[in-house]
Amino acid sequence: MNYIIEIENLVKKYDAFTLGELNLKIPKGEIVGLIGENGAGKTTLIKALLGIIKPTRGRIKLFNNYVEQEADNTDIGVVLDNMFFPELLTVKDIDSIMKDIYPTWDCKLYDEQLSKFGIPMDKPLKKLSKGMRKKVEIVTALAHHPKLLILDEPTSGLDPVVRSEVLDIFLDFIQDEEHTILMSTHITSDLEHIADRIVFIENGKVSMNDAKDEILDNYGILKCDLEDFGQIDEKDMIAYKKNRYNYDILVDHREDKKKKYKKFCIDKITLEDLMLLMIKGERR
Amino acid sequence: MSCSIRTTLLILHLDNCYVLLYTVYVEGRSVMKLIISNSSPVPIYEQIKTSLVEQIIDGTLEENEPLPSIRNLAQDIRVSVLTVKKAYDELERDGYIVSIQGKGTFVATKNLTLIKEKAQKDIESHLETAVELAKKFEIDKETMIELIDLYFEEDL
Amino acid sequence: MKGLIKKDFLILKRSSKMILFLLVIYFICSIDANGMESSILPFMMAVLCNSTFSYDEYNKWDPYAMTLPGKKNTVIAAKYAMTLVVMMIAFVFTVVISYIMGTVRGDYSLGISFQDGLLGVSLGILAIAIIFPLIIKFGLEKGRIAIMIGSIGLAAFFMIVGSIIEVPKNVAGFLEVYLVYLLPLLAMTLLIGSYFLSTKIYSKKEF
Repeated sequence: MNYIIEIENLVKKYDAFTLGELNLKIPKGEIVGLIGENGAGKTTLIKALLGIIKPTRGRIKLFNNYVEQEADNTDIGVVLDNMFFPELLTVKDIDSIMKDIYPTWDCKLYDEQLSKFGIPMDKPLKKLSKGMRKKVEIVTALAHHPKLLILDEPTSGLDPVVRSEVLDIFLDFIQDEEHTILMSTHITSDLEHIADRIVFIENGKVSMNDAKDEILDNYGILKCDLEDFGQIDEKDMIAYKKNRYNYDILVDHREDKKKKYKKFCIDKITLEDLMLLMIKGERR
Repeated sequence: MSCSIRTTLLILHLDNCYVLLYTVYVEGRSVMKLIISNSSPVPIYEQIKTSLVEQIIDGTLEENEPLPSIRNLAQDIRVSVLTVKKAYDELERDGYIVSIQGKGTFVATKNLTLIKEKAQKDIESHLETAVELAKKFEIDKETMIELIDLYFEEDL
Repeated sequence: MKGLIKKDFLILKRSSKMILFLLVIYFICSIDANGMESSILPFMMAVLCNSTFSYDEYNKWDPYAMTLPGKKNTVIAAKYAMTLVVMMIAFVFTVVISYIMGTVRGDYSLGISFQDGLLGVSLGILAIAIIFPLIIKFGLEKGRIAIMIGSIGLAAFFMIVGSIIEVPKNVAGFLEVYLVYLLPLLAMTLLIGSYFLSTKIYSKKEF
């Protein structure tokens, strides 16, 4: 298995929060979704990967090379949350600036994609709507033909139609086996559509790292009446939450559990349900 | 209805005397059950209806027992107010619950015979359809009775 | 690096209304100032530098800049390079204005204009050499306070020293002639030192 990102024993200490110890390997050619609460460490992890912050301990390997001093980000396309070009600049300005920064910058592609999205070239970023700005950021990230996309909330603020178009772009990007996407997002439904793998970050650590299909096929929510809670085997519960009229219990091997607990309702799970139960529920 | 009895002891200091007050609270706690499945093809309002009807018929919810208000229930099971309202409206239409202005919604006084009659009518109509289908495909009466036996056993 | 310099210039170009306004003020001041045109230069340059830093801070540009190819230090190098370019433009500008003013007043001298230009530019570079590391280390808000304290302190220092120490005549004479050439050299040396200091500070910075 070829890994495009390898994180070894990464630790980053802040006053109020510590990321790590984190060990994570991102395979090449996949779309990996990063999920977790705000403040769980997703953005810190991304910053460490991109060299915006320096780890307290641990090593990072990118494109099979250990990052010693500074990462070479030529082949990485980046979309960050709330960080981009100064608002006064126009879309055309960005083109002329990036031309001199990225050796692989493709002006034609940049123009084409932007006109496809209907973005005017001469308007300052300040005057563009939030959705349009996001589109500019995404097009900018793709226009220098990167091999790896690292995205932090790339679709936030976009309407469903545009989101769908953006996801199509990502799926198109991944057609090349040499390309990989790591995307952190709260819009779990996007990940349910396109992600190959889900990494769940809780309190600075990797809490889950599984194929998306496996997660959605495997896990389930067992719903039982309040008084029937005792009938469920503790070993079968991964997490549970008490509601006003029932219990929601997170189980795995859904089909097996259906046979074992015939009289109970076991629902399919969404990534959102999974997150909520893992974070807000009681854990076994 | 299950009750819990709470006792409160109050000690008042009045003019150098101590006065003891016992207060006994009888708390009625509803044992209403409700489970909504998101994977089910059955619409949510119907799931609410079916569950409440079951509980009314088997006695879990007693006559004149207060039901949660539409808004409260919507909040507790995290569905929209309109969904709950639809369920409640249909339950009221079918005679299972009553809503009293200014007081709330309650389980209706059970008219068991009426409910049984309605259920029987439903069964008759289902049987009619089944027998028609049987005749159409030349399935004889003995097989039908066997089938009925089978289904009754399965339930037990 | 070229791209980063371009970025700052494009920002300045887009905020050119403000700059034009400042230039007009500069122009008006120099009409009255009687040959003191060059003293406005350092002020102008400091304002320009502040503005590029403030746009960067407001847009959270630095963390994004770090994800771009190239070394971290390129960002700093670009800022200093931009300063030099602005300085050269300002120098030309000063000489031209000085020529116009001189012609109007009838006391035009190319030598004086040149000297004025050099002096102003040197002071500007000195200011930048001090201001940049402060802004990079402490950010714009605190950096400004540091600058204010620093410049007041410096002015006070020179006033006190100036009133205490009597410069011997020959030293004064020497200085008068060669100061014009010494000051730029001193300024450039300090700028280079400032560059290395800023680079060191920036390499440790995190966002």
